[in-house]
Amino acid sequence: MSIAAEQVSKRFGPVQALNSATLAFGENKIYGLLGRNGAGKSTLLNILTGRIFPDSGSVTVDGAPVPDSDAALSQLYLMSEKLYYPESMKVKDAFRWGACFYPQFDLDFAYSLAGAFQLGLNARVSKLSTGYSSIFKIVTALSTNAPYLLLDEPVLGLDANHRDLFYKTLLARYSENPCTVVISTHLIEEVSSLIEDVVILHQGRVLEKGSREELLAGGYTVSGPRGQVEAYLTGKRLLGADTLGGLMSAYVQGCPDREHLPQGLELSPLDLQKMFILLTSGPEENFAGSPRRGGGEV
Amino acid sequence: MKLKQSFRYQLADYKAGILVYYCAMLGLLALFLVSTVVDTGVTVVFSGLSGFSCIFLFICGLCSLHDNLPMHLQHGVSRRTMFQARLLVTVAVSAFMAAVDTLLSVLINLLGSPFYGGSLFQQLYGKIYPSLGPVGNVLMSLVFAFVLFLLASSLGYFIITLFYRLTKPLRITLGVAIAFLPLGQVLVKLADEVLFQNALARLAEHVIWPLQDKIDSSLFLTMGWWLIAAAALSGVTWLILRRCACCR
Amino acid sequence: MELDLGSEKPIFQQIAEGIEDAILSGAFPEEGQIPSITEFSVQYKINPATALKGINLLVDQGLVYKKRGVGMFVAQGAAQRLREKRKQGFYQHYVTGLVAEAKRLHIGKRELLGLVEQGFAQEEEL
Repeated sequence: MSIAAEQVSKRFGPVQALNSATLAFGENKIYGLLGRNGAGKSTLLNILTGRIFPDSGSVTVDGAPVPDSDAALSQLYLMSEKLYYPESMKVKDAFRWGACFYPQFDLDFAYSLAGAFQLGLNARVSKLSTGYSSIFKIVTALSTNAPYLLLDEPVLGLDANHRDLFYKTLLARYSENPCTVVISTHLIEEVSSLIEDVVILHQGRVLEKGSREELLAGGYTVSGPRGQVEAYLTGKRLLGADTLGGLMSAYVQGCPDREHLPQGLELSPLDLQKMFILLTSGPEENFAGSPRRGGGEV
Repeated sequence: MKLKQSFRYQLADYKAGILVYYCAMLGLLALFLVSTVVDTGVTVVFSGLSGFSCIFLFICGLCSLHDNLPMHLQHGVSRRTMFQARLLVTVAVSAFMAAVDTLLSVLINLLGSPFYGGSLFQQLYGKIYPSLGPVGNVLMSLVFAFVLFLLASSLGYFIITLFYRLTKPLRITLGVAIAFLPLGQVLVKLADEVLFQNALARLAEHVIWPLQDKIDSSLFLTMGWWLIAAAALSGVTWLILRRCACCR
Repeated sequence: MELDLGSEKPIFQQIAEGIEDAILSGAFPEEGQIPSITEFSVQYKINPATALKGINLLVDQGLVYKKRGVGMFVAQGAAQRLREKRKQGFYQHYVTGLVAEAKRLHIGKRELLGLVEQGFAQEEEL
């Protein structure tokens, strides 16, 4: 049971938005869909939900092909950055129609969550501010009880309190009623401990997919006096480095050998955001803090 | 399948419009009622109700895609289901409005002089079919208006789907082409004279115009022709809509 | 308890240690119910799987047990067993580090013992 994209490609004029992307979102997991601006995240989500058509490749939900099947599409709810509701529609009417189209829609929950966020029920959805537009979409998405929730930049324009409320509500909802959640976001640090699996898109390709833990286990930081760090790096695959005076922090791929760590050097794990930056930046950006030198093997 | 839900949604989309439309119509009627009280010399003929309704449904057709497609895709409804529901809504609304229009013209006739409510059917075909009798007349008006509404609605929906699917440059090209249609007629005539030695003109004279006359002169041929046109338009609309990207 | 998301220690381990601390301090009494996976997950904004992994560490050690359909409870004698377990790790976790740092700062054995005594005296005053 999953949403599966098979060799999906999509081109917009000169831009290859997706390049034979193959991936799957399995059952009852929280995914982070990460990528830089223009990496193809929104294009992927739009193709998964049949809003646009891929140039090649196929998408299935629980084996049924999107986009001709209501059965497949009904499993999904995509909260997108753009509003897909008529301009004159009021929040309460949007909830009502949500309940009409999604039989599992929890109208009481929608009303109480709207209350918690102080979202006015009589406001027109197209007239909401960026933050409240996000809130409206969050509330609707969490109320549908669809088995697959795709959230594209869910916290756009939300203040810290509302972001906190959103993450907590999402987790409570997810614990009570397991479903698949895909969070596409730029705020990696915020979702890092929420997500179980990660998909990283880079320039339209799937760069990494797998569990967050495994991804992070694939790299570490070694820091200490610069000469010592450089000596340590021999024969290791370097992802990037920062220097500060005589101190150096090097980001290394692989597993550290704690037993044979020279005195004076310190090991620490990489966090998801750092790992993401290292994987998706060019060598120039990753070695910006240190004297110029080729990336890769040292 | 979310056919029922989609039908409900698209029908609701029509409801407000239809209500406003008939309120305006009744308002107009009331206005004339008042004017007859003031001035007793006038005769008020309500004949164009179906004509107005026809234009109204055409415009409704034009307005039925831009918001509906995103709304359906947001709620996990396929284009196929949306289109099927749209066809059902077209039939339901056309039937309803044909019935209301016919009823209204009957009611207006009941008001008696100085009011006269004639349906579009009676205007166009009343002389050809004088033997129908009052009940037959009403029934025929109903069917006639229904078929006409189907066509108007389908045409509106077809045009908007075509424009929605076209890219901006193509949309402009098409718009310009339509604007220059009269010029096109002249060009076709010219090309006909130069290239085909008036073969097209002869074809028109011997086949197309007589055929059109024949269709025009027969009620059933006209309605059949409208039905076929509505079906053909809907078919093409579906082909355009099937792979229509929706990216706001 | 506080989680340090930037710490080297995995989050599930921090959760387990946080609960251990609470058991030791008596905040979670023996045979008392501890918060559910959902509560931990929501409170600390972490994936429920992570919270589950942390609590399962304690279940595996028999410090916490699950009652089907009711929740999770602190086992009888958990505090005592924890104390013993932590004592075993005390030398490795604290003493070796303490001595190493003392050496770096040129603090002698006598001086260090004096400081330890001072620490105890202060604790007693509080």
